[in-house]
Amino acid sequence: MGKFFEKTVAGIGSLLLQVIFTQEVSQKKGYLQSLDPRVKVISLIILLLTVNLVHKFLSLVLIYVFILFLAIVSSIPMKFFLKRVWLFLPFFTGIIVFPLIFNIVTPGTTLLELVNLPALHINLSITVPGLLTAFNIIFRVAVSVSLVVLAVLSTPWYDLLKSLQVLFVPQVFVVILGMTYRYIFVLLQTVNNMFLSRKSRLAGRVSGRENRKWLASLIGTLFARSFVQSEEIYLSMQSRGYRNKIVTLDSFKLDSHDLLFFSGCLILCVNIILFVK
Amino acid sequence: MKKQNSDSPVFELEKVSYYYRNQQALEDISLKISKGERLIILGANGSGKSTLLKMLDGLYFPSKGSIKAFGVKIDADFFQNEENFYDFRKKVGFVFQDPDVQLFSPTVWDEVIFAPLHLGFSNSEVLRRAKTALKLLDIEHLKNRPPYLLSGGEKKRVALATVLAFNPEVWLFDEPTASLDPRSQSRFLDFLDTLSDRGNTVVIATHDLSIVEDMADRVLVLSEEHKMVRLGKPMNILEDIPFLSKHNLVHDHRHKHKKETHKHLHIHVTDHEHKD
Repeated sequence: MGKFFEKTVAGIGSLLLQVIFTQEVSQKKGYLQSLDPRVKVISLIILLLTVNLVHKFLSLVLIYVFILFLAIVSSIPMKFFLKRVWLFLPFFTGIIVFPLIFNIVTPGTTLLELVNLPALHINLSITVPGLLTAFNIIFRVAVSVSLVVLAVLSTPWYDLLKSLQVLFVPQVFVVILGMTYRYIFVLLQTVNNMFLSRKSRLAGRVSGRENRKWLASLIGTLFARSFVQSEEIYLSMQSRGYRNKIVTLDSFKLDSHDLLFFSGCLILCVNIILFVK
Repeated sequence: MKKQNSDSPVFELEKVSYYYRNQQALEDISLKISKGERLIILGANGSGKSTLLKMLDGLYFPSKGSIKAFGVKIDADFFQNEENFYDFRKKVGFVFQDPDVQLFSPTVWDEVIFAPLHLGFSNSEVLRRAKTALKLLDIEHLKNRPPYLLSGGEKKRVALATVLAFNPEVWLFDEPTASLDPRSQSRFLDFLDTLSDRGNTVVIATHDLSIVEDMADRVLVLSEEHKMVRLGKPMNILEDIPFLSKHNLVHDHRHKHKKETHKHLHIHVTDHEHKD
């Protein structure tokens, strides 16, 4: 349980650090940061579709090179960008595609024979096409995830949310998601303080039963607090003119850079789909 | 708002009581607040100060009695009318005690444009007002920050900017000096002075006696039984230490002078003599 406390407090801390880091990167002066988020989101979605439509490995490599180029011109820290995608992803996707490497699923030239018992009709081996297919899928997932990470790192969170409206996400969802995200931090702060204040008063061992009781009361307190706070927030919105209808100021403006980026992405994708395949 | 009379008091409360789910929060308050006045509502925690402010802002309505604002009775029906709603909201601004409640938008900029945008100002006017508010409070550099990356003092300044952006005639403050460091507090007092110079009506709910003498024309004291126990000039009330003690606004303070420890009721705004 002691470890549980330490881990929770450390987890909250590192999450906040990561959010601050992402926020800083998204406000740097870079190429993608300068684009209209709506154009960025649509262009990246077109790229995402292309990644999942093409067959050849070369197409994926071409798009990945383009992504790395975008990351560089947008001053996204390369080490962080690569680590974010390649550290855990091959492992998780690897588990999913693992059966693909065997001759039972993907027959073909044998690379390594594992079990061969002809009498029992058992033959298990790793095949070359199996391995290639598995790698192709892992790479495809990595390229897709890179695109999403690129969008998240180069766009402030709320701009990203607002741009979803071009994809016909209703405004009320965007506003609610925005407020939810906003108040996660207030609740995190509250949880953190509650954990720390309990930690400061603890000496010696506490039974699991006691701890569970405390956790349950923490959840209850948090729920009650967020309920009271949501009422107050509603009052403060009303006080400033909110009458159950959200009004927004459309601050996004399209310019020639946006159109250039959009057409560039479109031309790249069409060419890859038609000629490289 | 119809029937408005420019000579009528800004607020007029007649025998107002309020109950939260059968629990009494305010009892029998009668009061007039005139234009340009600075009124401080003093009371211990839980005495009903915040509730009173929320009623002045038309967020809660009296369980008994009535409130008139600018000469017209305000109740749920009054706010049903769209014209009344916007007219009242443009005139009265409320700075909540907890800035996290007031800052619900994703960035400082979205927060500052919220009121002018929802109160129906034109787009160019919204931009002008928001920019001016940020500039006057010296927080232009925070424009794109999300609220969770602001310090406590910065949050309070942004909260002021959110109200300043629609420039109301009447300002209501709930515990404005709570958790402010000395520099932020003095900045805030300067801000209040500016409001007064411009003729704004200011109502502040607090238990901080240190701002009473400088900032109030009149003081209203709420008891822990949620009743109005005093309404008068600040000095008359500040000098009545037994009264303040009875209503939990001053406390026994033990401290040392050279080698001698002594004890007296603690208040910073009036002098007390020590034996040598």
